[in-house]
Amino acid sequence: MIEYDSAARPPRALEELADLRAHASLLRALVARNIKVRYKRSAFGFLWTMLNPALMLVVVSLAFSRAFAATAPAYPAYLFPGLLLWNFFAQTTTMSGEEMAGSDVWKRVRFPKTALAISTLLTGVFNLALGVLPLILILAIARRPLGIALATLPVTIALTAMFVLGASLILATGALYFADVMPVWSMLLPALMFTAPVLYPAAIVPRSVAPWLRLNPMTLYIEAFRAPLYSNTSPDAWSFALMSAIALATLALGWLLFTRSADDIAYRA
Amino acid sequence: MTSPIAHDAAVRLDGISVRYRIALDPHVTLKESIVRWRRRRFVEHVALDDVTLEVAHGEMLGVIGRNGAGKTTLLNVMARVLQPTSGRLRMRGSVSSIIDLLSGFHPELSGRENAYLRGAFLGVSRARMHERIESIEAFADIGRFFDAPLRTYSAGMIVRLAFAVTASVEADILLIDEALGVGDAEFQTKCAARMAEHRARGVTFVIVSHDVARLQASCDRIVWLDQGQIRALGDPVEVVGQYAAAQHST
Repeated sequence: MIEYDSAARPPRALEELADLRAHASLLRALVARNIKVRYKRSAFGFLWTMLNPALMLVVVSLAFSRAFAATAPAYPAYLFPGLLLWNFFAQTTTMSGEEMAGSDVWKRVRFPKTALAISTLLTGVFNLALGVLPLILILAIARRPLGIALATLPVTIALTAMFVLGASLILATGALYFADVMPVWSMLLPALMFTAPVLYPAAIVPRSVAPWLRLNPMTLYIEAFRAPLYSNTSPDAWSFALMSAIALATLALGWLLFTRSADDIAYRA
Repeated sequence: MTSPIAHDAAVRLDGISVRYRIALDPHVTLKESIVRWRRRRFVEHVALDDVTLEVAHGEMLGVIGRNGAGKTTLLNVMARVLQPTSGRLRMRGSVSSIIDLLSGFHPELSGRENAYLRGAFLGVSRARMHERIESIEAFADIGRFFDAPLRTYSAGMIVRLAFAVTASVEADILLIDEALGVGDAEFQTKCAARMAEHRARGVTFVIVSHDVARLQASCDRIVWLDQGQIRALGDPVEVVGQYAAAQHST
C-alpha cells in the first residue's frame, strides 16, 4: 500500500528521485515523443537535424578556412565537433527552459517535473550521437588520424550532459519565475558562443584574454570533445577531473534549486 | 464537523489551507522585479481555509459548491499537484486523477501513442499499457482515428480517448472533476458502468460536479464547500437540501 504523509516528506531533492523511479516509463515515453514529433512530418527525417550544423559548417568554413589555415589546419574538421557540442548545449537548455515554463501539465497531473528536462537532455544526446557518427565517418574518409582516443568521447559526452542538465534546471527555475529569462537566454547564447573556441582556434586569442575563455565552462567540454576527433589525442586527467567537478557542482545546484521551487510552481498562474 | 479520524481512512486532511498571494501589480519579468522590488503589494486569496476531512476506503465522496468555492483546489491538493500552504495531508493507496483530460497529449502523435504517453504521465508502466491498450481502444471506440494524429480529432473524440486512458488506470483512489463533461449520453453510460466496476473493487472516489442530483444519487457522503470552508458534510440528501435552500435564498 502506497502511503503518503505531508508531515513526513523526504527532502525535495530526494523525493524527486523516488518519483522518477516510480515513473520509470515516463522518461522513455517523453524521449520517444520528442523524437517522433520531430521527425514525423518531415520527408527527410533526421536529415533535418543535420541540416543546420551542415549549413553552418559549409558557410563558416568558406569564411574562415584560409584565415585559420595556420592555427587550425583542415578547419572544417576543427569546426564541426565544436559546433555539434555547442548546438547540443544551446538547444537543450533552450528547449528545457521553454518546455518547463510553457507547460502546464504539472498543474494537472502529478509527475516528477525534472523528467521534462531529463527527457529533453536525452533527446539532445540522441541527436548528438546522430551527428557524431557521420562525423567520424567523414573524418575517416578524409583520412584524418583517428584512434583509441575516440574511446574518451562517451565519457566526455556523459560529463557534458550532466553539466547541461544542471544548467537547464537552473535556467528552468529562473524561467518559471520570470517571463523574460528565456528571451534573454536566447539573446545571450550567440554571444556566449564567441566566448568559447567554437568558431576560432583558441591559439589566436590574445594571451591577455585567453584565461577569460576558461570562465565559459563549455570551453572545457568543447576542447575535450574535439581533441580525439581533430587531433587524435585524449584530454588529460586534469581536464576530466575539472569537467567532472563542474558537471557535478552544476547538476547538484540545478537539482536543488529546481526541486526546491517546484512546489511553488502550481501557485504561479 | 471534525469527526474522529478512522485509522483506515484513504484520505485525511488536517487543517488544510491553500493561500495564494496575488500581486496587485504583477511582476512577470526579471527586469520589473529588479526595478520595482520595493513597491510590491499583495492581496491574499484563501482558496481553502482550514479544511479537515477524511474519506474512508471504498467511499464515494461528492464535492459541491459554487464556482470558486475551492472544489478544484481540494482535488488538486489530494492529487498532490498543489502543495497546501499549511495543514497535513495523508493518503493511503495509489492515486489517479481525472482533473483535466488534455494535458500530456500531443497533437502530432496518434491516439495510440498519446495513450502510452498519458499512461506514462499517470505512472503506468509500459508493460501494463501493452496489456491495456486493446481495452483502451475498445473503450474509446473512435475507430480508425485511434491511429491517426490527435490534431485530426474532434473535441468529443479527444475526450473519449482521454477518458478511456484514465479509466483504465487502476488506482485505489480516483479523483474526478466532473465539471469536465464527458461526451454523449451513450459514452456517459459506459463511463458510469466503468465507475461502478471500480467501486465494486473497493476504489475510493472523490468527485467534484455541478450535477448535484447525480451526486446525491450515487455518493455515500457529500461535502459542501463555501469560500474555501466546509459548510456541511454528511448525508447526501441532507447536504444537498441545505445547499439548494441556500441557493434559493440568495
